[in-house]
Amino acid sequence: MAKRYQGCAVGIDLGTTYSCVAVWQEEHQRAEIIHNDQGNRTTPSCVAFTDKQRLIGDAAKNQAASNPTNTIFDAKRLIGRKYSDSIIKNDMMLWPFKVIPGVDDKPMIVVTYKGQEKRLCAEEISSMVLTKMRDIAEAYLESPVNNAVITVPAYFSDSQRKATKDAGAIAGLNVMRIINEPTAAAFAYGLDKLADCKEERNIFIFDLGGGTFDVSLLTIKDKVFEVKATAGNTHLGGEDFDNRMVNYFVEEFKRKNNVDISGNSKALRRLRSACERAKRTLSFAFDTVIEIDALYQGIDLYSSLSRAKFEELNMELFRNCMETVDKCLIDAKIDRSCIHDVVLVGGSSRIPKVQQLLQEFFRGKDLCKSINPDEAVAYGAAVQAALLTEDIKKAPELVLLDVTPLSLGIGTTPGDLMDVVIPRNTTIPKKMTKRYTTPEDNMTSVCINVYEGERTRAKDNNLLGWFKLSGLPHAPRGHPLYVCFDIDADGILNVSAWEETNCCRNEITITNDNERLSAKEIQRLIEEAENYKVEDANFLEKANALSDLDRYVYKMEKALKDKDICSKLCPLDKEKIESAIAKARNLLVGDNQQREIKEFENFLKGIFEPIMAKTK
Amino acid sequence: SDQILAIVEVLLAADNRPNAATSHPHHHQLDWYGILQVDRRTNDLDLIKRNYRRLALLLHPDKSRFAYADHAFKLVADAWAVLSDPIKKSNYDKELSFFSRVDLSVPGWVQQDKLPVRRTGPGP
Repeated sequence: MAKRYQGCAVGIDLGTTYSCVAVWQEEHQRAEIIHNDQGNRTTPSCVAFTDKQRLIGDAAKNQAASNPTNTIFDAKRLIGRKYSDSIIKNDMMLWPFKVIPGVDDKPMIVVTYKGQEKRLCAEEISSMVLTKMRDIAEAYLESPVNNAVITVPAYFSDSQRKATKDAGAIAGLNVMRIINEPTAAAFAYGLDKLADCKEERNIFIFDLGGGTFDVSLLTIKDKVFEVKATAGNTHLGGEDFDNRMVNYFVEEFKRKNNVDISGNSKALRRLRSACERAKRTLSFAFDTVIEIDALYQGIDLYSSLSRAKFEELNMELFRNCMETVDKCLIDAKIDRSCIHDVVLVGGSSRIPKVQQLLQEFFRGKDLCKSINPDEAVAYGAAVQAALLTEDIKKAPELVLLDVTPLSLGIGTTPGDLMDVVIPRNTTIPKKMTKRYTTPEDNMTSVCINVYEGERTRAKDNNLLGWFKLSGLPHAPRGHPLYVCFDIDADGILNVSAWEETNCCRNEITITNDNERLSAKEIQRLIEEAENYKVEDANFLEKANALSDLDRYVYKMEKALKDKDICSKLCPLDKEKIESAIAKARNLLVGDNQQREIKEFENFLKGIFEPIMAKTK
Repeated sequence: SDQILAIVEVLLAADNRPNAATSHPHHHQLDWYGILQVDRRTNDLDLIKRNYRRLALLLHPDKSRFAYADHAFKLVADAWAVLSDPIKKSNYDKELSFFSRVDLSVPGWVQQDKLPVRRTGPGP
């Protein structure tokens, strides 16, 4: 049975570029998107480090252009991947921040925080964003939030999902479940738009976000949401469109001015921001201009971009999307004419060309734009969170039947071929046993490698874990063995193997392989996260103290300038105040403890107030 | 209580193998029709669908807090995977008719007093 949770629970859409948090409101019977401290309903998934403090969300993104090497974004593209991954190698060329290989080929982000070099893993950056989302929810709900459902792209691998779960743990959240983004969006659509769906409906979710692309086909009837098939690309989204634009303008700048800006992180960051803006504009306008003053060596960038050119730059990527759509329909064995609704999710689904191609694919069918593409995923996650929470009695009466996005199997000898035990798009929970035989005579042990993926050669897939079945009886080759895959509703896979006469047996739960953070490591990171929080709080208090002191000094100066007061002051008192102000000025520019600042403010008051009393 | 009943019914149906004589570790020979609580070899896909949804709502581990619900759900999902696919269904029907020729005395599951607990040991 699935675990039930108590207390407040939220749904968090942890996006590549933006994140969003929502909560189920029992009294209104709907989920509410929670706005952040700036009044925005989505928060940039961005963390920045400066000499003085750490910034998360809007504050971090706003200062990105002036602090490019210490402003980290795109952590979702790093999470659960290896440094040597070719995808990461390509991304790194475009990132202004530095990534180096760490232990076990884990990518580590290098930043300078308070003058010191720090190495952070992607889980830590994501956990900071999650902490921010949690703070946003706590401020709105006025109560602590411990439980959350976090969404991931449907096509995320097992290690990417687990790393996301770890990020939640570092942020101090109980991750109730990791659910798929398109499925969450389907929840939002089904609940909000198809209240009590009596007829069976086939819903196609097209989720093109900032960094990832997913499609899912679901059948909704009554209260049962059944995922039929899912497909996607974990590295295709708005950022890639931006990249193509950036490359185009870098080339253009080179041609026109004979200078190469590709090595300058500040210039690239400014160009990227301008491109992102231009891309958004091109979703409603047919052309736009890009103007950046003094982009590099005092040369301005002044150029225009038409929608047609934008489409030409990205056509290959758009075509990619459509191939994935086709693949999903084939997997689901459902013809495109049987789709009732095509639902658009994710900011990049606003691109007119994408919509046009999709509409053509579905033979002119109207696309459903009635849900907010930026918020639907968080909405659905909040619904799932409510379903898993004990306290909520009036949660919607729904059940979600989700599937495994990737095939699961074992590597067979000889040949190292992938033998699928649970094919992709199988409803979970699922248990499946398969019979194998020993490949050689008198084997005493066999090694079982568990893989995930669609490639024929086992080692081209993701190795999830391995174990040894030893103590086999002496027997000629062809001795039967059984391997059982058992995957629960949370997607946790348990693999066991035994020999026919049951004289030996071994199993593993695929939860903690060596690439994942260990429990001890997570504990350390939780403590570190706590430290960051304390430092942030200290910084805020100190900044407040400094601003109080500044205000007081200003008040003193103003009094000295006032002729009325001045005439009543004796020269000695005036000198006293002036020297106190000078000391305070020194204190304001120097690096001092908050306690000293407070004490000095009191000291100033001790001098200034008795003197002022005399003038009255 | 509906939830408990559903679990018991599914597990009992799973115990009643159409070819009880051969105990093969695979699931192929389970009585998928019985598990979905429809008449054997029915072609009423709507009924199969309806029962699958009803049972899924009762048995999914997110919904049911009772022991063995996940086990019962897995059986229901497996049954659905076979009976909702025309090719798999017709293969299964063929297999079924072969076995019923061999073993004509299909025991009524009501008379069997085996507890569902039996099927929950390690491995199938």
